[in-house]
Amino acid sequence: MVYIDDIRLPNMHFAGILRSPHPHARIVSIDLTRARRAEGVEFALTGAEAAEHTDPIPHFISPLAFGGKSTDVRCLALGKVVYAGEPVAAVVADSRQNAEAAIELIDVEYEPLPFVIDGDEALAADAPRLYEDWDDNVVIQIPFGGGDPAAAFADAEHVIEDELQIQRYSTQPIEPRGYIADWDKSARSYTFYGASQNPHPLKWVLSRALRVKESQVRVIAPAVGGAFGLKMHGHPEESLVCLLSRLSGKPVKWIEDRSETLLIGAREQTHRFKVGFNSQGKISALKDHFVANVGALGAPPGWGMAFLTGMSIPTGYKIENVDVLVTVATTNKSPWNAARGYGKEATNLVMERIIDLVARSLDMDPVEVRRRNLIESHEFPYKTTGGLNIDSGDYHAALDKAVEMIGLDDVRAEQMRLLQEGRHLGVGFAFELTPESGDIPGTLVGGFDTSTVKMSPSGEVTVLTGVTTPGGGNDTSILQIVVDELGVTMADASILQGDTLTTPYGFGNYSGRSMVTGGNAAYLAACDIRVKLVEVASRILETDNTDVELGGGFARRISDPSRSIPIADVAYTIYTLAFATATGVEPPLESTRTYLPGNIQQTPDADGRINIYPTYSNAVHVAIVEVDIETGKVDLQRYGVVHDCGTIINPRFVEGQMEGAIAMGVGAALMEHSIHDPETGVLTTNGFKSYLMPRASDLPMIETMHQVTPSPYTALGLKGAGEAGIGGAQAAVSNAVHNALAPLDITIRKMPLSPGTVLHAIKYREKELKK
Amino acid sequence: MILDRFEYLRPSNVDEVVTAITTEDEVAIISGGTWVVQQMGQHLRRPKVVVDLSAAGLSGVSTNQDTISIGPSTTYTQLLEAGDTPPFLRKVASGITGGIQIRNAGTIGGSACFAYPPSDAPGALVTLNATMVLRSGDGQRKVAATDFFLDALTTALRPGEFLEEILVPIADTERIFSYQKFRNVTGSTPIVTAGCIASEDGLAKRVVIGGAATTPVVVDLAGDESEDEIADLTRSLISHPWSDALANANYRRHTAGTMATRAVRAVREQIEGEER
Ligand SMILES: Cc1cc2nc3c(=O)[nH]c(=O)nc-3n(C[C@H](O)[C@H](O)[C@H](O)COP(=O)(O)OP(=O)(O)OC[C@H]3O[C@@H](n4cnc5c(N)ncnc54)[C@H](O)[C@@H]3O)c2cc1C
Repeated sequence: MVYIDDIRLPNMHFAGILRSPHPHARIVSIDLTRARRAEGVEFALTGAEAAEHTDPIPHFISPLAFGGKSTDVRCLALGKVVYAGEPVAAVVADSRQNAEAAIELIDVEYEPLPFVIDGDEALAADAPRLYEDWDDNVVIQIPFGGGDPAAAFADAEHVIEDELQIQRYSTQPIEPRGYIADWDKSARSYTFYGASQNPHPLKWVLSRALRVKESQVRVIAPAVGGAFGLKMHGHPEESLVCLLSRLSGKPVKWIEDRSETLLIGAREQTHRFKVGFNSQGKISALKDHFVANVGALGAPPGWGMAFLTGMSIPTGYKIENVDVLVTVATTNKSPWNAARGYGKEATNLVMERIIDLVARSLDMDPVEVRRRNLIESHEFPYKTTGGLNIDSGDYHAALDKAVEMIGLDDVRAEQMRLLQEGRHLGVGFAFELTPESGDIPGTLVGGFDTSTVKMSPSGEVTVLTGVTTPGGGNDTSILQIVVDELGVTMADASILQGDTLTTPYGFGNYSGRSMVTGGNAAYLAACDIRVKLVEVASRILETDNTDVELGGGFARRISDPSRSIPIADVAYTIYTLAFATATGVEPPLESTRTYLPGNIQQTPDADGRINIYPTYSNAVHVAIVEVDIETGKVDLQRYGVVHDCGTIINPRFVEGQMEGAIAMGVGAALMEHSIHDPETGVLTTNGFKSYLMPRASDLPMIETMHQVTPSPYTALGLKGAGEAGIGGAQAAVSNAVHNALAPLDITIRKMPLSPGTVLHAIKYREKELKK
Repeated sequence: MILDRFEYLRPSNVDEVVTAITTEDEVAIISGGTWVVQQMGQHLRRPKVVVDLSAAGLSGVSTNQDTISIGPSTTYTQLLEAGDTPPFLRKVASGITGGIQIRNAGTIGGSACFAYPPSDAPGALVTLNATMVLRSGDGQRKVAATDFFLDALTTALRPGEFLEEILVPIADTERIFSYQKFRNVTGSTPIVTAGCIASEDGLAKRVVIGGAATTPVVVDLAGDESEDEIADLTRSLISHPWSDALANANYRRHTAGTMATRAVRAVREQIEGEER
């Protein structure tokens, strides 16, 4: 395994990047004189100079494509900065130390401007505006929904209105971002090594920003130590490092500092919702108008998360009158990037809180309210008001399994017993729908992918695929599919990913797509090769080709397994006896196939809805917590999940994904929070002593149970298994905390449920009750 | 990343330490280095001279008549392993986070001299009625732990002076005690700590709060207060609250009361248990 920081090129130099200390300021002047004279410095660059050599970075998902507003994002700020942490100038030096020392010698004069970091405040008419050519701070407003919400609310027996503020938080892979660019003067081409999730689309982005042809850029993404969306592209440092290499004539490396990783935001949304239902707990109408504070508009795909939060409402619930309005606001916080869950985690959190609020207002069992509203297994495929065409599932069975797994009756009895002692135990459920393997029309967020399978004359198998691995094991799982199909062993197979020169064009990893697209494509390619192997083996074994099976490195007669031949010999025959034994079987043993899953609908239907997801995994989560009402601290005691991602290739990897996502969701529910100082607009949670994440000792053993409902729209029945878990865990824990506090009748409207927030709510409620 | 070049000295006895730190240049004393090196990496501290205490013979725990002597460079691991470590301090050391790296490198004296309000050591040393022995070119002076912590990140140490020894009265180390530490989660620094050692007459008469204020807060009790009274009194004594991204001043003040109550309750329960 080689990570970016392990790569050392001859004569490699290091980039130092000066970042703005102000959230909003005009750049009056930049003086590089002192920096240029500093020890070891080869080169220094301002934004104005960079702009002479580069074009704006193409947006991963341009808001323009959906009727919104956009802005030019550049590798170094030009004229003004719109967030604290924005790159302003850069140097190249012979060591990281000298590069960091030199940026301190860059003299920048700023003229600070009024700034805004709150999403609601940014929408006010007199709010400071980030982009002078916009007439407000709204990137886009998008409605979703259907039916007749107004009439349904008018008819509803009960209506609840409430609010939920989801905090800004991010993802923190163990390996931060890192890039090395090496401009070859004679070949006039860049080799770019980067911790990237999407090498092929990144190649396109770099070529646009750097004004070269795609053929002049080779992107190599070696092993990536965790990604979670953070390593999707559009970051200014990507093209900056390339430009620095070209202008300095040196290979240039840049490795992100943790404080820089923590700048990248995601997920901050304030939901204001209204739900109409009857006394049986059946929900008839839902309204959710929410504001997403995406910070300054960056070129990465961050802002699109808000779009998908809106589209995914109302998850797996059969609610037919829905009114959703997504408002994407820019503020002077640093930009978002994609974060695992890609907005759907917020949908799940909000929906599951709504279900529990309905249950509480009716004094009904929250499990029962779910049962009465979830889509039933015979109703699939089911088209939601957001346009999603949900493929398959058995949500009620999953719910029953979760209830049984946790022993709900015993838990409730224990809860009553402890309450007598003044202790607050709570149990919370959450249903989670995770649309996976998305395709966003008109963008390089593709819903298909391509794999090549090759077998050499010695029987070695090589797989090349356009999907990349962020370290979750899709490389192994894809090989497993191929090896099973070709009857060879894992020892004879290898896989190559991430190098744009060798792998077929593909979109990389996001949206739980690697197995659905790359895995299925590899399966199709392996099938092509299998047909040739079986045909030639049947000739050698003097039998019919229906009488041949492949396994354990051998082809053998089904009717007489003692008649067998090594698969390597069959391969050798195909390459060497093409005009005799293998006649009519076209060499080489190589096939490149693309898998396009079913169910994606790029063209809007009569109601203007598209379906960007082929497949929908689901899960039921259940959490048990104890809340210390004297301190507000939440102790997570048990956690169970019933997960359905269709056909499972490798249960260990599926469970690994689920456990990791649940840990993230628990972090989101209880502690992870990117906080900006309201006075300065600067991020204060810039290290792991202030940005808290869960440790192993904060988590109970996660009890996992699988349910398998294959997808009818993918070849192997696979659904995705990369994103599920976050919203489910966030919601289950939050519902459990509220259940524990039910005797006090408390609703907490601000995430995360840190001890301070929980205690504040308890104290506030105690005061209310005294009055 | 550390940017500047600096002179590195590793004195081998106390006199050499005095010589090394007696200079006009900015000096950083390194005990375990878990604070200093981090600060240098973040460019928050840029010394010209770094004085590493690791060879100066300043670690270890020993008993001399009525006091226990603790070397300031004693690591948390050494505190856990030494036979003479006061049980209260062993309890404190066992709860230090940051894993084996911090326990093996971080030292009690380093934490005391840094005087970071949420750390365990300041409150713990005040709970133990420790005396801090300071040395400079002018000789030795002794300062009670209560007077050593002047403000957040500020101690009674003067330029050219270092912490040579920590003395703990033995009588205080043999009695029933409780140490309550509240953290948000495993990865969080302490929010509030409360230490209570029973008095000679077998009552809970003194609680020391760490983390809630800029310096440790001593809560003196008559011994017969109700839990509500203890909580209220404690909260009223937090006059210079500490606040950071993990918990604001209000929360810390409130939790100080709660933790003080829990510490006293634990001590009272043990005393009752012994009497039975
Ligand atoms: C991951 C992590 C987890 C941690 N968890 C905890 C925890 O749970 N509880 C807790 O309390 N702390 C915790 N800490 C902080 C840790 O306790 C302290 O960092 C450590 O004890 C400091 O000791 P040191 O010897 O490393 O200090 P150093 O960094 O060596 O020194 C600290 C300061 O004291 C000065 N100094 C050191 N020795 C002397 C001396 N003899 N005379 C004068 N000045 C001196 C130095 O110049 C410096 O200013 C944690 C730290 C980390 C990084």
